[in-house]
Amino acid sequence: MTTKVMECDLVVLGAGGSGLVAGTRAFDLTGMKVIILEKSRKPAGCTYFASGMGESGPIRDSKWQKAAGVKVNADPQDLSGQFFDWLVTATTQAEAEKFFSVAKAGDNARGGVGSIRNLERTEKYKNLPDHSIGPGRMGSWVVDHLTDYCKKKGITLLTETRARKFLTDDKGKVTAVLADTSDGQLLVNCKACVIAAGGYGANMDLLKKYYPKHFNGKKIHSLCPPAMTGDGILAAQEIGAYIDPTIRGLSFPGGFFGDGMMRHPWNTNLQKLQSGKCVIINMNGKRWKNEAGMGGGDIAEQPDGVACAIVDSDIVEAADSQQGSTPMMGGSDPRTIKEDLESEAAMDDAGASGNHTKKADSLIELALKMKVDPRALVDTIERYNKFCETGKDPDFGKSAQMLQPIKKPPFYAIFGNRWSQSTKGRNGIAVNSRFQVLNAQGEVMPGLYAAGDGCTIFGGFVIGTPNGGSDPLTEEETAARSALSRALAQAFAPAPSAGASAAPGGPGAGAPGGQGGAPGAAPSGGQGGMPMMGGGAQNTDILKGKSSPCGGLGPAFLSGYCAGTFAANYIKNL
Amino acid sequence: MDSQCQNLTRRKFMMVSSAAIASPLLLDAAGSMAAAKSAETRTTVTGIAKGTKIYFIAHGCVGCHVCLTFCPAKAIHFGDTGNEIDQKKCIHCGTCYRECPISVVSETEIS
Repeated sequence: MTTKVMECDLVVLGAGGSGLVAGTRAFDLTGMKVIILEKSRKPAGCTYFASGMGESGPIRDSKWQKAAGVKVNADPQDLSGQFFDWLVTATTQAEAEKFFSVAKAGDNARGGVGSIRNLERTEKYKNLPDHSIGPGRMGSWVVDHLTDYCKKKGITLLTETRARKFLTDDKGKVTAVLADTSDGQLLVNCKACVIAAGGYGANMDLLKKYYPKHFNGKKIHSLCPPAMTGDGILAAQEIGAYIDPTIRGLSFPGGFFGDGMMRHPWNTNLQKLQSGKCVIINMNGKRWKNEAGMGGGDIAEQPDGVACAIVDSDIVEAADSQQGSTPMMGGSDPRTIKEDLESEAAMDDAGASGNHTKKADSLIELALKMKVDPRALVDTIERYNKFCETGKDPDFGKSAQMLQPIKKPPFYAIFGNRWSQSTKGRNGIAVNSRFQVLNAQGEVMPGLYAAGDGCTIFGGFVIGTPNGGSDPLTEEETAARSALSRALAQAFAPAPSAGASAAPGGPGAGAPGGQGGAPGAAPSGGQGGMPMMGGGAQNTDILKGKSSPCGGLGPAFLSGYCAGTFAANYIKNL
Repeated sequence: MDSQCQNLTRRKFMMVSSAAIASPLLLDAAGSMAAAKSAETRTTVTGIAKGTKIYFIAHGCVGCHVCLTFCPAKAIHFGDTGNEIDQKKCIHCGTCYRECPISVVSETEIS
């Protein structure tokens, strides 16, 4: 086996959203020698499938918005606009203008009027048949453009190069990264390193370790690229980085998209059926919770981690007649829910693997197809139908308007299961508000930075849908996020040239509970008003599981942007 | 050749799916590479001219349909466990291998 040696200032592990941004940003600031290592055959990461930053997490006060006369945000510390303006210059204005626009009244953008939108798929991917998954939106746009930028500017991007080990000097400072290549090993000597190698959504061992209940040996469908095995997290842990073992987040993604491989295309309108106007039972044929407030984690705790949503034709019809489907990933499926269920049921009847949707004209027949005790199912539904007559659910307190009887055949049973995807910072590498990696004592590990899914920037954030939708945050979380956002913005404000990463005393030394910013100050209230800049928490917050992130791919890009900036300044001031 | 190709189902290849996975760097167990060279694999693919590159979608496909959209031979369809390549229709052009965003399409040269 041959070992090749390369020299650089900054090595970045991972060429996904955060890694590419970190590498190009560091180069952009200082012109330093940057090497980006990517394990897969091409730069992509989870980001490649992500829909939109401008859409799902607002960009505020970018030059574009100012030019359009939109005042989105009064907070001068918000970095999202600065980041977006940098992104545009790092690609080209003309390219960006083809893809982004500021949403006007009447535009179907989730961020509302004034948000940066990109609802159409890029030219290359416009013919993909499934609006619910696949590249062609902001994630892949950024990855493709920054990859081109690397080529143009001479930033070394090595694919099929899997970083697996850090080499440190006697003081514990990272001096080199050892990587496997297709024909041997590569040793990259560096002055600093940004770990942007993603989460561990494709590493079953780690998933089982942190989520023993959820990943209990049953097959799950992974929406996570198979390269996401947590290599960066494990390598950092090996040299002493702190990995928070506590499980954050109340649930793990899951939903009624079948038990087995999630089929695509699937009709995102099916989500309407999950909203609660259905009966959700476990494989014992029993309800166990108010359907209206159920999440993926609830499914996981049922026998075999499987559940079924039972609907009748009335419910399906009513859902189909509802106007205005959610603009998920910027498009809509022309199929109706009924068509979707029929095709799914037909595939199941034809003997496809897994259980997705069963259809029958009687509850008994349905139960037999589901392999559930028919008596239990019939009892459950009859009892439920009685609740619908009285408008009261003494079992689980479901509200009257959600109670709708299961009466009109044909009946459908939609199987639910959990899925894995990017782990979004859960059990990731602990970082402070400058994205410096921390050890178990809360001390900064010099020269080592982490960004993206593999670091705790996302904290306990739980995503509810495969493409980065979100659960509502508690008031406390919102307040904490707001404060943390300010803390980070303050750290960033005097930069980007003033050597902001000099680690004064180690942010980890903060008093427990001391939060720097102003807790509770102007909680932005709900998803729409969240600061773009989540996470980047003070160490104390991270250790308590209070770091508070935001949804969409904003955090991946922005953490990369910040980590790249801080790392570049660190190297410059060495 | 035709009858041999018919035997070359995805399921058979799933048996050696870890071997068929796109990049050896995605593999953790060194042992799984050995499976690629097993006698079984060789018998399964006899009949295809030496030097031909064959393509399989390995374990880990998330069903994003990029390969299916770009395949010039329309040889890829959505299957039970992810997208599948119909080996009878495949023209061995490697488009799927190049376009797959997450590198789960494997390329194996018949030796």
